[in-house]
Amino acid sequence: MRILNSVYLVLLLVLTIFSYGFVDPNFPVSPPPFLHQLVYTYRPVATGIYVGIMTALFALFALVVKRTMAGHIQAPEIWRLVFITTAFLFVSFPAFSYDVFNYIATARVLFTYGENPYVVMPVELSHEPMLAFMHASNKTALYGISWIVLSSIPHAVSFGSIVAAVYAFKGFVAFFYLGLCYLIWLLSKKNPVSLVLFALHPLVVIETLVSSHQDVVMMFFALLSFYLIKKHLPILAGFSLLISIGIKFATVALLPVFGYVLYLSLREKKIPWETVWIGSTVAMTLMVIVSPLREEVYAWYLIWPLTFTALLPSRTTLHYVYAASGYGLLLRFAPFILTRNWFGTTPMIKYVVTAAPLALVSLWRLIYRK
Amino acid sequence: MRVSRCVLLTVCYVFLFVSPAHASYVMPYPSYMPGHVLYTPRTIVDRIGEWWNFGEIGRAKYHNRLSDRYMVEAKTLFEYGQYKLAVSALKKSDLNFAQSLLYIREVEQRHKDNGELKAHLKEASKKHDEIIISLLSLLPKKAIWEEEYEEPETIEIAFLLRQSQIMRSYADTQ
Repeated sequence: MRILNSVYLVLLLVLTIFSYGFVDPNFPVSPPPFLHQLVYTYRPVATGIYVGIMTALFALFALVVKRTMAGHIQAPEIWRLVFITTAFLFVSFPAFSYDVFNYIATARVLFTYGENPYVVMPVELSHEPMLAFMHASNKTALYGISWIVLSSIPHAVSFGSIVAAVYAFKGFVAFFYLGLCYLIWLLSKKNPVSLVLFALHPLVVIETLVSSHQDVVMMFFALLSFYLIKKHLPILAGFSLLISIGIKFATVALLPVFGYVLYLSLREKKIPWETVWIGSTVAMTLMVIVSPLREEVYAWYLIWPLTFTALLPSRTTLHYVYAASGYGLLLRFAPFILTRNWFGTTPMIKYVVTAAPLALVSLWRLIYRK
Repeated sequence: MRVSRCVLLTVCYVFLFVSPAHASYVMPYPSYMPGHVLYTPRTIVDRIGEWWNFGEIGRAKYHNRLSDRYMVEAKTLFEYGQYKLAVSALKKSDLNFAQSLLYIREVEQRHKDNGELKAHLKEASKKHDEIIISLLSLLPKKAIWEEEYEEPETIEIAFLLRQSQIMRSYADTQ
C-alpha cells in the first residue's frame, strides 16, 4: 500500500506541474517557460505525458478498487487518499478545459458590471481583462440561475482578482466534490467500495479537481434530494432537486425517478434503493447519450451517471464499462494536445479513442464471462 | 473594342465585388399592430423585458430594440393612414431612442465598452433618419384626425417627424 500511495502521489504531483504548461500566454500569471514550451512546442511529448498520466491513473484506480473489494483497503485509508487528491489538485491549473473561466466571466458580468449575463456577453465589456485569454467570450450565460446565484460565493471570495477567482472556483467545486463523496458514503451505508468507485475515479478527479467543472455541484444537490427523502424531508428534497436542475438542467431526467421515490415515501412504503440507483443511472446515461444533439459528449458529463453507478458496487460489469468510457472520454483531449486543433483529423481520432476502450472492454467481458 | 472591354470589366467588377444587398443596419419586421389581440400581451412582455434587461448595456440594447420596433410600427401605420396610432408609436420610438442614448452615456462613463454601442446607435439613427425622410416625402404636413364622438384634432405630422429627426441627429453629435 505504501508503494501504491507513493506512485499515486508522484502521479498527482506530475499532473499538477504538467497542468501549468497549459496556461494561456495572455493569462496574468506565467508558468516556467519550459512547461509552456513542452505543451506548445514538444506536442508529441506532451501528448505522451497526458496519455501516460491518464493510463497510470486508471491502472492505479483499478488496483485500488480491486484491493478495496478484497477488503485490503479500509475506509479511513480511502478518505485519506480523497483528501490528499483534493489538496494536491486544488493547486493545479484548469488545464484541460476553459469552462472555469466561463463561470468566472459570467459571475463578473453580473456581480462586477451589474449586467444580466443572459443578455450581455463578456465580449461586450471591452475593458474586461479576461477577454485576453478566455475562449467563449461571445456567449451569454450557459448555465441555470442556481449556478449563477451559487457562483456569487467564490466570486465574493476572489475580491475582483482573476487569479484568486480561479482558485476560489476550484475550492468551491472541490468543496462540493467532498460533499458528494460524503453523500455517496452515507447512502451506500458507508461502503468503502462505493466511495472509491466515485471519489477516486480518474475522470471524476480530473474533471472536478483539475478542470473544476460544476457537474459535481449539480450532482451533489441531486443526490442530496434522495438523501432528504430518505430522511423524510420531502419539501427540502424537492427544493434540492430544483436547485440541481437550475444548475445545468441535466438532472431534469431524474424527475420520474424522484417522483417514484417521493410517491413511495409519502405512502410510507419501502423504497427499493437498488432499483432507484439503476433508474437514476439509466436516466443520467440517457442524458449523456443525447448530449451530442446539443454539442458533443464532453468527458465531464460522465460524472452524472457515475454518481449513481458508485451506489451499485456489486455490478462489476457496469464499473468496467463506465471505467472504459471514462478512459476513452479523457483521451478525447489527447489529439488536441498533439495538433492544437479541433478540426482536421482531430474529430476522427476523438471518435476512435472514445469508442476503442469501451469496445475492447466489452469484448473482453464477453469472452471472460464465457 | 477598348470601350466594350472597359464596359465588360466594369460589369464584372460590379457583380463580383459590389454586393447588391448591402445592409449595414437591419430594422425588424413589423410586429403585431395596435388592435391585434396579441398587441397588449406583447406590451406586457416588453415591460417584463425592461426588468430582465438590467444594467446599462442591457438597457441600452433593450431600448434601442424597442425604438427600432416602434419606428417600424409607426412607418407601417403612417403608410396605412392610421396617423393617430402612428404618432403614438413614433413618440414611443423617440422615447426609447432617448433612453438608449442616456444608457449609452452611462456605459461610456463607466468605461464598460470601447464605443461599440454608440457606433451601433449611430447606425440605428441613420436608418431611422432614412425612414423619416421617406415618410416626410410621402405624407401630408398636417392631418385632421376625427375620432368617433370626439373633437377633431390636427396632427402636425411633418413637425413630429422633424422632431424625431432632430433627436436622431443628436446621436451623431455625441
